[in-house]
Amino acid sequence: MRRRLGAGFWIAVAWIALVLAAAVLADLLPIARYDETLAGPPQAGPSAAHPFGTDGLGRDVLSRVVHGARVSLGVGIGAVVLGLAIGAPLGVLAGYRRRAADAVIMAVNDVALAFPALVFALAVVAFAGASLRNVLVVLGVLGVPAWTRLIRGATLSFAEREFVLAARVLGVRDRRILWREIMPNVAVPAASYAFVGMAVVVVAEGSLAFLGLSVQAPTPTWGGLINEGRALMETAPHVVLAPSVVMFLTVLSFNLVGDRLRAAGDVRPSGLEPTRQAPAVLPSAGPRPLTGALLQVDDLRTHFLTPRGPVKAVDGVSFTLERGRTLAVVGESGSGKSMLIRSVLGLLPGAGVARGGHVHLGGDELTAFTPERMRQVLGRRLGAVFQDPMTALNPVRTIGAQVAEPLRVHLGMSRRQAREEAARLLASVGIPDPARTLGRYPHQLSGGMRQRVTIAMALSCGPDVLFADEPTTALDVTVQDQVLRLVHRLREERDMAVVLVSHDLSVVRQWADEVIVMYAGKVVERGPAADVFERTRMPYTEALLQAAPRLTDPAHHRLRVIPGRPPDLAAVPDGCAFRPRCAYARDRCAEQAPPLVAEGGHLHACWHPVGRTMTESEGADSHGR
Amino acid sequence: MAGSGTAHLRPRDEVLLQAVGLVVEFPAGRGRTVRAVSGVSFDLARGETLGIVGESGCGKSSTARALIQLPPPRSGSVRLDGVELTTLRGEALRRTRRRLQMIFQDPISSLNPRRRVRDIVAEGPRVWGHDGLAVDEVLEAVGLDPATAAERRPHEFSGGQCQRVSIARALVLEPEVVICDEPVSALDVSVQAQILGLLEDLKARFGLTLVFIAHDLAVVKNVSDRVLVMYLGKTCELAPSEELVARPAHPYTRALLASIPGGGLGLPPADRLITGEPPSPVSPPTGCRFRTRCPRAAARCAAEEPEIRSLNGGDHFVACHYPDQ
Repeated sequence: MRRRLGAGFWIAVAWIALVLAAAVLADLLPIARYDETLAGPPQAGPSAAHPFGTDGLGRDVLSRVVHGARVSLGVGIGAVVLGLAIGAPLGVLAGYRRRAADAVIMAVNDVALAFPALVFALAVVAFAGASLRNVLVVLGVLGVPAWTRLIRGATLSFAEREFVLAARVLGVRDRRILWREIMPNVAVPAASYAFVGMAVVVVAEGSLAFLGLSVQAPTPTWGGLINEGRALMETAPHVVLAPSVVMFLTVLSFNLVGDRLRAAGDVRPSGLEPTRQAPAVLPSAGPRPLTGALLQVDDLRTHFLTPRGPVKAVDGVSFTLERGRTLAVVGESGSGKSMLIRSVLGLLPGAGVARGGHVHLGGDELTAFTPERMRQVLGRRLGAVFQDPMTALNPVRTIGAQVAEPLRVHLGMSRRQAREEAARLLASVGIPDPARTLGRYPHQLSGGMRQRVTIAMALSCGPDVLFADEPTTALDVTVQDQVLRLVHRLREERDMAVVLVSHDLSVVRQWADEVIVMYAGKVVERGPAADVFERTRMPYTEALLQAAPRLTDPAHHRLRVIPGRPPDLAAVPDGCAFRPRCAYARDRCAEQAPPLVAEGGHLHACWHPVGRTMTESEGADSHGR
Repeated sequence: MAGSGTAHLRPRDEVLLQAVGLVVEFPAGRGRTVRAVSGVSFDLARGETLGIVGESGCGKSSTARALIQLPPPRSGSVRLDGVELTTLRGEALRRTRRRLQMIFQDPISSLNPRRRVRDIVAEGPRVWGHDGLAVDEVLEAVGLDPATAAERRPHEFSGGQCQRVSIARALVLEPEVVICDEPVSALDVSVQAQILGLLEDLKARFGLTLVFIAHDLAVVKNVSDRVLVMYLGKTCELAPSEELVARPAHPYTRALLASIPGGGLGLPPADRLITGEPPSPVSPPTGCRFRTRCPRAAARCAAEEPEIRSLNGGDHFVACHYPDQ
């Protein structure tokens, strides 16, 4: 789950550690004193005795850079710690307590953030005197508003999580909730920001020192050294280069460490992160003879190449689909049903994927198309609708602009024509007052209306096949019914084919003509919907049907439990992938993967298929729409 | 209702938890108010499971939060075993509230990603000085192996396993009432069946009383003794779960049932029972809140809010002027 931090991170850490150690141990190192004039010949270039050379007074530049690090790093770390010490409690208070505390703290904070920070620092140092303490305090205090804002934001995002609510219900006191539940989560972004903050402060201190407003000579500082060296730039460039390069590398390292820590703090499941490899083509049997079907998919394979081995997201799927029919692809999360759709549509990442098989649409082999030609097919001949209409729509463009775009791009309509057609399309998907809706933004519409808009967009160029990937999963059940009815009506009106991906068997049962049941990237059962649901052959399909609660079952009816969970697609068990969870599994199931065998138009992949029918075992079931 | 009233409440001394006239409101900016829950009442007998069902925005989750006083309802009463929770403050509230526990929808967000499972489950006993069940016992009860699971962190588990950890955390203090807010909505159907079965087992083993909130009526019916249907912050109907599904009386309940694909209940198609989408809870309709989508709505529905009344003189209650008899 956690990302590797990478070599760059460790090099950066090593550099910071080296500079820090040199600064702390400066007096013990076998180098000249920083203020010893004529330690070598003036303005001499780098040599064994003086690796960074000497300056105009013959002082050792290495020694001066190392001693300068004391000021730079001291101010950098000290100011960040000071800012954190003041800003963190304020941020936590504002983020956790909310209400009045939040309002007051953030109002003051906003005013403070409006101050031009460096100008303010210049003024204070010029007034109070240029000393290490003053510079540190000024830069530290100037960081407080940013710290307050950051810690408040992080606290806020965790204070609203359910685990904090759960702790309060358990009776945990606020102080302990802050300490045990919130702080560990806030610490990671805070640590990340601390390193970035140190980089900022080192630069700020350098700027002040360059202007002579930091620690005064003879104590060297990096900014001061750069300022001194400026005069010798022509004759002895190393005097200015040495502190510049060290400062540059240090700031870079701080930023790099901060950046990597932030990325590492994103706790997320991984395993599907593709490695950087060129797309590969998997061997597959040549295409079957074309059946003349509208959509014909043969032995489609999509494997993700990951460090843990190939993840077989789609593994040899074949089907055909005719106009005016709805094919449902059903399965649990991770079964590969969404990836199947993306593979057919060619919407896969370019790198880290191996693909194989053939997709034919009306006689054209889409799998052989260039991306350029594929773009002509998408939208015009293949339409797609996805689960979350909010992410499918651009939040800052009006509905009208988004619905009209494919009309103008693909069909070459004028602006006016496209707008009229867009209004007509919106009306056809049941959006009341389409002319007014054209001028609205996605956030002004309800979830159901947004999904209607994405359907209108998918249908705008009259596609042959509409792909709907969990189109109603984010919607309420009464709205789901409306949207599915709409899709069905549009299919009839336009003589399209529909591919409906869903985890919901009752939706599939009501709306599909044909069904594919997927498990671990493979088709385990396929056939006419009535056959798959009433004369189920595959034990997985049977178990899924019995696991779903039904209104016709009595209350407290015990649902069939499928033990375990779907397999890791990078380590699918040998033989039948469903075997570890199957009540009927025998030895053969572990040894040989069952092939997909046909009984008429009903296919199943099982060595020991279920014989009895659902209708007999479950009683009469209403089926139909 | 979408209406109000308390005709459906049982005598106070017969119930463990009683909520009367709950009102939950939030500021919506620009001086407007979200009327999330507007006068909802219900009660639970000891050992009973009450299902609360409704679509997004109906106020079911706000009702759950009002029960645990996080945040407390704007008005109304919540009594647990005779103790009024809404007037308790500070230490007394903290002490009483732990008798109610909660399970949430999002299995990831409900667990602190930086703590180990053992620490998450042991937090309750630690806070109360080991006043609870043994952590290993609870982990075993929810179907997790303490030896392998306890030292791991939430991200190493699937959604279903995370939900088991949440249930263990809720049970470890031996609560009387567990409020389950959409506990299976984020899970696959095979895992959903595991969790529903587990909740039934644990209810029997630990003598729990459950409030089970979900948007899926089939799921709610499966686990509940009685079901309360909510719409836009109001109560529509309350009945034993078999009765509700067999003889739905409120037009909204009928629409909800008819919208479930393949429901097999012999109802007319849903598009004849409900139209349009829910209005905003910022400016709910007058009278019956369902009237704007109801095919039966008449002038009386806009003028007068229906009161909850018994339909059969028994335990089937409805808040509608023109219910289906």
